[in-house]
Amino acid sequence: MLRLDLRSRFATTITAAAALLLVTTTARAADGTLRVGGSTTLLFAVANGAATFMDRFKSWRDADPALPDVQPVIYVTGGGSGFGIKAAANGTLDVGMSSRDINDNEKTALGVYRSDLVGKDALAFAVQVNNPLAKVKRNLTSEDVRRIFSGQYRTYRDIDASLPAQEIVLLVRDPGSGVAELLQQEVMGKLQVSPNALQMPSQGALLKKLESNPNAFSYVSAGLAAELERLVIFTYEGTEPSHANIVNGTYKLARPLQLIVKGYTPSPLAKRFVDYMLNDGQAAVAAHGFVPLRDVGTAGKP
Amino acid sequence: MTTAAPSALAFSATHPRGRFSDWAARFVSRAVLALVILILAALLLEILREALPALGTALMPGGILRGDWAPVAEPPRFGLAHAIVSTGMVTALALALAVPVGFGIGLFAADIAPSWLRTILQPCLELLAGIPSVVYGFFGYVTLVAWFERHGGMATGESLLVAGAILAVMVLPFIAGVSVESFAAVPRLLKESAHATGVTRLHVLRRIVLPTALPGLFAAVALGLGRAIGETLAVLLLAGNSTALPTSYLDRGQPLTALIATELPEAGLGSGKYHALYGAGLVLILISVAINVMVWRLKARLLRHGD
Repeated sequence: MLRLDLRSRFATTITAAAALLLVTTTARAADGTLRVGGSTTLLFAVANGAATFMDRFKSWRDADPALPDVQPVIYVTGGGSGFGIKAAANGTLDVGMSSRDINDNEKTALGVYRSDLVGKDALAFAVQVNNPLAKVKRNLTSEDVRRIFSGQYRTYRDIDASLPAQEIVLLVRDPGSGVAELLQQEVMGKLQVSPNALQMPSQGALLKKLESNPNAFSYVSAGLAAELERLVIFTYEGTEPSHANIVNGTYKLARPLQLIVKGYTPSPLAKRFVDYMLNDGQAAVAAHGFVPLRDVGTAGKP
Repeated sequence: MTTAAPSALAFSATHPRGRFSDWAARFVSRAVLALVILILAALLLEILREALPALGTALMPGGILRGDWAPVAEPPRFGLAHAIVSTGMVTALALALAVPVGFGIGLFAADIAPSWLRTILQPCLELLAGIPSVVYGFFGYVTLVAWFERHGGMATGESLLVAGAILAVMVLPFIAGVSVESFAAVPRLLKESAHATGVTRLHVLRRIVLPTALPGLFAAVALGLGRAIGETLAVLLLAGNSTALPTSYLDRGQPLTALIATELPEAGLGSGKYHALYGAGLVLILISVAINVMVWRLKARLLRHGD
């Protein structure tokens, strides 16, 4: 079935570059290479997972006796979720990475596929322990968040009359980053984040500023939240961003991180790598601030 | 090249104007000159080509010369006004602080300071010039930003004021370094002849030293300006990187360089944002060329007066 498809395409392909690509597709299983790509959110977590995989298994046979005795070479590239799904559908990649749900058009393009959730990227609102808001409120509604981030609430007094008229210093990531996209889609909708917000160049810079400035209000990856003792994490719509709530979907501000493999019988190499990411690879997912599906990180950590 | 001597002689017979080595040197320097011009032209053309789609719609709603920067709005808006104003304000403040101090250091080092002090000052300036900008940015972040939060009553210390002040420290060694050299290049004979006529020290400074050192001083300002306008990392950290249009030095802002650095990594190839960011690059080049042309014209006029 797959082979036939390749042949008919091979015949109609005109450009030499595309022909080359197809030749490598057919040769791939034999030389032990696996191509993974897509979501830049997942890129580093999966790349780290791939690195530990290649470190641990010198041959695919070490990973699974049924697999050929060739050295695993796993390429992980970015390109975005859209690219990851498209490339998994047309065979450019063995495994696509997506940090959003697959839409109907993409489902049609993929035909038969398997998608595995390796973790979730969740957003939690946070302030420093000395922040005025933390003293009166521990829960935020989506309306609160919209008003704060759009700049409609300028000072803490606008939120609660008992608080000082101190400016709410909004810290955000640049609009292209995963957490910023999530906030925009899930909470802001058509509203714009206030232009007065400080766009922090990295997650690290944002956390540092948030921890040091009592007026700052921001969001953090929920996976990191447990380790940040100087921060107060708000519940959102009454739900705590706990591991269980995020995984079972009660906590709404989260998006799926998934690996996609096309076909009735996925390539055994791709299947083995996805299995690895669902088990030992979960540590890499947790290490990048995401919420792993299995609670690996916190318990075993020193 | 002793082995090439006979052929070089033979060459010189047919070319009376110079030997082969002269010809080669001339050829190489012209080739290098052409290469530099070619690279510059290619760079400008490429930026212009990528900015072109944004220039076509520059004055329409959402264009780069209208309104605000809201890349995730529907439809997106790519106004650069806030960044142009931020760049202008930060650069102006940096030069206003650094130029007088830089000239002062230059005059002091060249004319007044004892020679032992000069031998310390020069390497210090060079050392300051060599410190990477992220270090200045971080230094400003932990000192000035924190100070404004603690004692300035600001909710957060990032502001154009802090960015401009740190930028002034960054460009100071360049301005001071070049002005030391241009003040030192004023011929001793001129100064001593003037002193011999019995005029005051200030008179010598105004009538002899300043006019003679003037071309060098303009070069110092132009160098400092180029450095200030192109600085990215320190202003990104210190100006707050906010897209609101700043109206005072206590406001946060986002200079053009910081805008490009923040947005370009995630801008899709060929998207509206991508072209708008190239537009920002073009604006940056145009501002810096315009100011440089102004500086050189001013210099030409002042020098004509001096004659």
